[in-house]
Amino acid sequence: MSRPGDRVSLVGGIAFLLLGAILCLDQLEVFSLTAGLAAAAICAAAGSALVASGLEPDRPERADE
Amino acid sequence: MTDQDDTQDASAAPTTEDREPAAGPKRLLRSQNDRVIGGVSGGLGRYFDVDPVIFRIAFPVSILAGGLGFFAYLAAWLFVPADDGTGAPMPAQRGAGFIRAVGVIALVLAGLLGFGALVTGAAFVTGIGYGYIVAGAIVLIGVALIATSFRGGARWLIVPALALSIGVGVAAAADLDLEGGVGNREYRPAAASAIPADGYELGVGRLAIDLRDIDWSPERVVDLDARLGVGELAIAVPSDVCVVAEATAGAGELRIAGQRADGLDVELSTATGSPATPQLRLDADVDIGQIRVLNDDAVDINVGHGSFDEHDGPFDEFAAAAQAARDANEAACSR
Repeated sequence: MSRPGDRVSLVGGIAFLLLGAILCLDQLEVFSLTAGLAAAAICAAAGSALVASGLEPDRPERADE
Repeated sequence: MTDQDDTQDASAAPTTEDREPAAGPKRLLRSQNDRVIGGVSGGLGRYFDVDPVIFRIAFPVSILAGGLGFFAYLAAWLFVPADDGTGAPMPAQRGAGFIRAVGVIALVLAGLLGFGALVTGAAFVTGIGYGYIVAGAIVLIGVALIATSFRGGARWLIVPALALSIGVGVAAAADLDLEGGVGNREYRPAAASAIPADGYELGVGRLAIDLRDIDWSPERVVDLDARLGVGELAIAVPSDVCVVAEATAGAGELRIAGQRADGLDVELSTATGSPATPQLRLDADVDIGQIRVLNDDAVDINVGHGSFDEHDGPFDEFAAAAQAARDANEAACSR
């Protein structure tokens, strides 16, 4: 039986994919991140995963519960 | 009492399967079924009727913001009873508290060390010029999260992704450069010609440059570049030398001839454009740490914080020393 999709992983994955791309561009000197921008980007990535989990409907009970 | 009565009593005793939660107010319990470490987040999620992952992310994040989350989690693990699977608290067992405390401390310390090691490692790799590899790893983790999201997800990957991001982000924001080596370096050039044309550089550690042995003749102008990745950069000049400085810090503190600035992406300039001689034209940069320029004839560059902040006395004394350093530089630059 296929397992249900996980929205938190999906949103977190997209967020960290984008964050990794931004950091990669910074390291390749395409642009330069300031401390404020870096902090905002990291908080946004972590925050998006938190928001996704907060908006998630109740998960079905585990089989062992 | 007959055998029949005993049978009836035994059958009337509640079992784990048919026990009902005690009636009364809702009680916070550590979850036995939804746990990663101690079941605290699972219990909190059930108590507040929200997803436990919120607490699983919030606890580590709060540890970074002063460490309150660490003690809160520890206290909850120690003092909040576990549920027995039915919503009722599990009966206490002798010695279980001590064993649990040791286990909690060991696990939390291991988690903190692991998270800190990832952050530090990512920052170090970025500092030596391979940050794009770590950034690429974060992209791959993102791809893995997306790929697994259609098959149940792998939320735990968010934690290492966050740790790596913090490490690269801090190093990138501070332009961390650790390629100059590690250690304590002290330079005391006897003549201006002994100063390297490309200046002095150090990756991590303490870089001390004492310029007081140079012949500071009245017309002398000395150019000095100094770069430090992480640590302390201390430069000493005689009090009658005009310090014309352009100093920057990605994160840290600048103390130059009695002037002070601190914070993130901080810059400090002194006596810009002054034609006074003798003069030190300084271009200094630290990624994370402190730059101190001591315009003092007697202070030991290696003792304490030197110059105007070496005093342990009251604030007035500290302020007076800083003012004296500012006055000395102002006098030297207005000749």
